[in-house]
Formats: sequence, C-alpha cells, structure tokens
Amino acid sequence: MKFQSDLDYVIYYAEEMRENPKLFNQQKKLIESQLNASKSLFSNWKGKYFKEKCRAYLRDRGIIV
Amino acid sequence: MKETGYKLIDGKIIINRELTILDKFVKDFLSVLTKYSDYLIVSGFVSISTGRTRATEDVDILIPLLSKSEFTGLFAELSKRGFWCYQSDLAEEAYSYLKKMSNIRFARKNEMFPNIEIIPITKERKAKYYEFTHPQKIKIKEFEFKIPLIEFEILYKEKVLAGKKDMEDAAHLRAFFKNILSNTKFRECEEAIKHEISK
Repeated sequence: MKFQSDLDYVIYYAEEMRENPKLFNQQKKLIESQLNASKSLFSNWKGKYFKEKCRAYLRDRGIIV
Repeated sequence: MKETGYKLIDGKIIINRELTILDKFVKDFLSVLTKYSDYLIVSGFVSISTGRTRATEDVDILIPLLSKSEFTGLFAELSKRGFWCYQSDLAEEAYSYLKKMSNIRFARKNEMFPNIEIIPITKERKAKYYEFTHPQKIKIKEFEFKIPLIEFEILYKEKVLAGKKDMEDAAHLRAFFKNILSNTKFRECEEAIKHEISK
C-alpha cells in the first residue's frame, strides 16, 4: 500500500490496530527498543557523579534551568 | 467473539494489550504520587498508551499545586522508591519550582530517560483545569489511570499545539477511537479551550 503522507500512514495503522490487537505486539517492541536505546546512551555515566553529569547535559539543552 | 483493540465498559476504556516497560515506569510512579495527590496523565503518553507508535522520553502529568508539607512527603517517598529529581535533591528547592508554576521532572535512579514531567495547575489555567476536572478512566491489564477526555486531547493537539507530532497524535486518536467519539463532548471541549485557540 502506498501512502501520500505520514498522516495517512498514522490513520491506516490506527484503524488496523482498532480491529486487530495483535498489532500492539509490534508497537510494544518498537516502544521498548527506543526506550532501551535512550537508556543505553547514558549508561556509561553511572556512578558517583551521575546526577551532576545529567544536570549539566540537561542544562545545555535547556531542559532544566 | 472478535477481539478488538479496545472496549468501552461502564465509561472506562479497556485497551487490549500487554504492559510495556514505559507503562510499568508510569505505574510505579503513580503508585507513590496517588498517596499524596490527584493527577491526570496528558499529552504523548495518552496517544502512545492507546497504540500510537512513536518515540517518547517524557510523560506529562498534571497535578494541583500541593502544599509544601504534602510535596515534602511525596518527594521523600519518591526518593525512597528509587526516583531522582532533575531540578534538585532537596525537596525545598524542588518545591520552589512548583510554587513558581514551573514543571519539575523525575526519573529512576541511575537513569535519565524516561522521565515524568510534573505540571502544576490551578484554576487560573483554565483549559488545563477543565481537562483535569473531566477525566477519562483507562485500563491496560491491571494498570488503571486517568487521562483527559479523548475529544479534549484531540482538539488540544489539533487547535492549540498543532505541531506535526501533535497532528499525527490527534489523527491516531480520531481513527482509533472513531466508534466512541461524541460530537457533544467535542463542542464542550472546544468551549473550554477557545481562549487558548485565539492566542
């Protein structure tokens, strides 16, 4: 199937998921894969100065002030 | 009987799926938060928990502005239960952000993501106060929580936030919940956010 836009794909997938809950298994894999990737990015910071390093990173990106 | 993605039973949405690690993170956080405060989960997690497949690193939760002593109790128990606050290790300092109506964030110890973003609200924040006082119950396996009315979430994303990600989240919600959306609720929710649309 060819989609004209990202929005078309989102709507198609939501309609399929409404009728076929097995698609939630795919969604679970994708969500968990992304979260595990995010976690692993900072895993080498673990240790005594973890929070300090995180806060410096978050300040640099304007997430905290 | 054919299995579907969700059912509506006595006004509660029951999603037909297994819990993810993101759900378990939110569930653990809520198990502490609800001892101290009412709450409403809003924004991206609403779409993701109902099937939208996209990345997220934060979960937004509205809470009423707590007293200092309520917050101190919450902060102490969150720390005991393995959460840390981005803004400060001290309850008093973290509370100063809430008092200024600024958001604060918590993650699990030794992790930066995912995080919970706590958004304080008062009656003055009219649209947020409306969604807070008109919750929709939702359940996934044994995890039950509160989100805004689906109609509110759709309109807020389409008319107020209106970024690409928001429009896609709204399209997901419109398509997934097509069979239960109410025009009456859409009209009521539009009234509640109209002052934000014109901004």
